[in-house]
Amino acid sequence: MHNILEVRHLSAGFSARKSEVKAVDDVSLLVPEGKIVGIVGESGCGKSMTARAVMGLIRYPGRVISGSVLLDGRELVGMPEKEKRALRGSKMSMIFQEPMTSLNPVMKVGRQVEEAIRIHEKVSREEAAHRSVEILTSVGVPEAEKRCLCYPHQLSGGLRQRVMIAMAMILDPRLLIADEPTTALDVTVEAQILQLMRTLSSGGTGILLISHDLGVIAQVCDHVYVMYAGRIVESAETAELFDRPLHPYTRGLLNSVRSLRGGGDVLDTIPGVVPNLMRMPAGCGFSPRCLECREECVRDVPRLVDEGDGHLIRCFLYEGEAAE
Amino acid sequence: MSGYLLEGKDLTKEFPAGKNKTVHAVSKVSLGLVEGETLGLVGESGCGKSTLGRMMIRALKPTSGEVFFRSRPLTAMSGKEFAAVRRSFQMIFQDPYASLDPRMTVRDLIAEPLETHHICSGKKEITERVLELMDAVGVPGDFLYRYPHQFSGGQRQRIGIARAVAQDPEVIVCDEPVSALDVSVQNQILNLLSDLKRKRTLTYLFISHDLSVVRHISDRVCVMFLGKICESGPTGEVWAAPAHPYTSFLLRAVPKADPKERTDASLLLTGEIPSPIDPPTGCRFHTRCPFAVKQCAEEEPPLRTRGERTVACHFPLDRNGT
Repeated sequence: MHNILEVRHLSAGFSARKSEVKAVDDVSLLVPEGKIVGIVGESGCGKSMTARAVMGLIRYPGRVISGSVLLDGRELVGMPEKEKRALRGSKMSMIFQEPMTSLNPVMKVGRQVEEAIRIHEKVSREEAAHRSVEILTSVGVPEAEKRCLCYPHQLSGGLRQRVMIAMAMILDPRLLIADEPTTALDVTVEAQILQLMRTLSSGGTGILLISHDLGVIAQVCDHVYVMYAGRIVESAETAELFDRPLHPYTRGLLNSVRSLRGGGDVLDTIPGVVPNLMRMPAGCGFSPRCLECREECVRDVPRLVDEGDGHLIRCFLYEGEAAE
Repeated sequence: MSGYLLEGKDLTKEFPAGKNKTVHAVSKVSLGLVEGETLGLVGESGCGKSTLGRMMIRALKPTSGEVFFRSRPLTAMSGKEFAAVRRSFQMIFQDPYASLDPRMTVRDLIAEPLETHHICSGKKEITERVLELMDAVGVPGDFLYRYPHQFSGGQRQRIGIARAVAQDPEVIVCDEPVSALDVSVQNQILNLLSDLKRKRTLTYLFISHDLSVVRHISDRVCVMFLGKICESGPTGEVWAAPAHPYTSFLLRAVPKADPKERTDASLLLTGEIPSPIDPPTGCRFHTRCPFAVKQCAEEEPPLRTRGERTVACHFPLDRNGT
C-alpha cells in the first residue's frame, strides 16, 4: 500500500542550558493511504511534538535535530519555509484539541473557511463561499449557510471542531493530523466526530490521530504506536495490540482502563509519574516505573525489535528472544 | 426525618444572561446524600452538575429551594450559625494547577485550613499535623517546604485532597477531581479517595463527566441533562439497564478500549445539547430523543420511583432496552 507519510528516525527537542533535551527520540512511523494511524501516550511523551515536527510547526528554541519526514515521497526536513507553507493546508493539515483557540474570534466562520481556499487557489469569492457551504455540510454542520455568518463564540464546541475539520479538509489534503481532536468535547459529540474521522479516511486521506485515550484509539485506528518518554515503545495493528500487549507500559495502560461494567475494589495503577525531560533516565525511559525492571534496563536503551507480523517492541524482555 | 445526611429540595439556580434572558442552570432538583455513601453526579458540560454541587454545600446561593444538613435548614441559617457547621463541608477541584496558591509552600497550604478552623495551634503542633496529612495522602514528608510548581499534577491533586480532609469534614464535593490527570495517575487518585473515605467515614458527592470513573467510585448515581435529573439509582443497576433513553445513549457513546467493540454509528445521538437559556418545553431531552412523541414536547415527565430507582420519562426503557 502507498504510504502518504513516512517518518524515519526523527529526533526533535530543545537546547536548554548547554545541554540538549530530546522530546522526540528516533521516531519512525508510517501513515498509509486511507488509514487511521494512532499515537497514544501520556502528557509529555512527545506525541504532540512529533506531530508538530511533521508539520514543520516547531517553534524556536525547539527544532528538528535529525531524521527525515517524507510526504508522498517529498522530503520536508530542510525544505524552504515558502514551499512548506504551500503544502500546509493543501497537502497536509492539522486540527487541534481546543477549536476556540485555533479560530479567529472576530471573523465569521464562513470567511475563515473561504480564506483556507483563497490562500492556495485563485478562485472568486462566490466560488469560495459556495465551496465552504458544501464542505461544512459534508462534515455535518446543519444549516451551513446560516452558520457561515456566525462568529466562533456563537457555535457549540462540537460545531467549532467541525468547522476546524472543514477548514482542514477543504483542499482535500493527503494527510490530516488530528491532535486530541475530541478531548475537549462531550461523549455524545465525541462519538460523532470519531465517526466523521472514519468517513474522511475511507475517502483516501491518511489520518495521524494523537490521543491519550485508549478508547478513542481502539474505536477508530487501524494501526497504533505507543509512545513513552519520547520513544516509540510498541507498535502493532490495533486488534493485535489490544489482544497481545507486550510492553510493560502498554500492559499497565490497558490495565488502568476502567470498565463500564465495574470490577474490583482497587483500580490497577502504574506506580510513579512520567519522567521529566530534563532528568530522563539513562536506560529505558520506563525503567523507574517498571515492575519487571532489570539491571540492563537502567543502563542501556533497548532496541525496537520485530516480535513477528510487524509487532514492534522496545523492551529487554523481548530483545533476547528475538536474537535467539 | 428524611434519613439523609445532606438533602437538597427543589433546588433552582438561574443566572441573568442580559437582555431579560435567564440561564436555567438547575431547575427544581431534589437530591439526597446518605451518610457514608458516594453519590455520583454525571452529565455533559453545561448540564448544571457543578452548580448543583456548589448549592448543596452553600458555596452558591440557590434562586429557590432549600438544603438540609442533618435535617437542619442550611440555606436559612444566618452567617454566624453557618460558620459553626461550615467545616463539615469541603470541596476538591478539577484543576490542581489553579487551585493552589503558587506562592505558598506545601506546609502553609495544608496548615491554612487547620488555622482557619482553629483545629490546632502552635507552629510545632501544626507542622506535625501537616506531616500526618501528607503521609495520609501519599506525599513524602521531605517535600514540606516545596512550592506547588515543583510537583506533578497527581501530587498537586494529593495536596488539594490533604487540604480538604485537614478539618475532618463530613461531606466532600469532588468536582471532576481526576479529569485533568493522566490515565495511569487517575487511578492512583481514585484509590486514594476510596481509601480516605473508608478510614475517615466521609460522604462524597462525586461530580464527573466520565462514566467509567463514576461506575467505579459511586454507590448511587444521578444522571443530569440540562438542569434536571433524568435518572437515578444504584450505579451498577443503572449502567446495566438504563431506564432513560439519554442514559442509554450516553453509555453507548463512550469509546470502549476494545477494537472488537466499535460503536455502531446508527446508535449515536445526533445534534447538540440545547441551550439552557431557552430549554425545550416538556421533556428537555425530547429534541434529541429518537423515541419522542407529541406528549414529550408538551408535558414534563414527573420523576417516577421504582424501588431504589427513579426515572423522569413518559416511556422508560425496559430491561431489554426498548
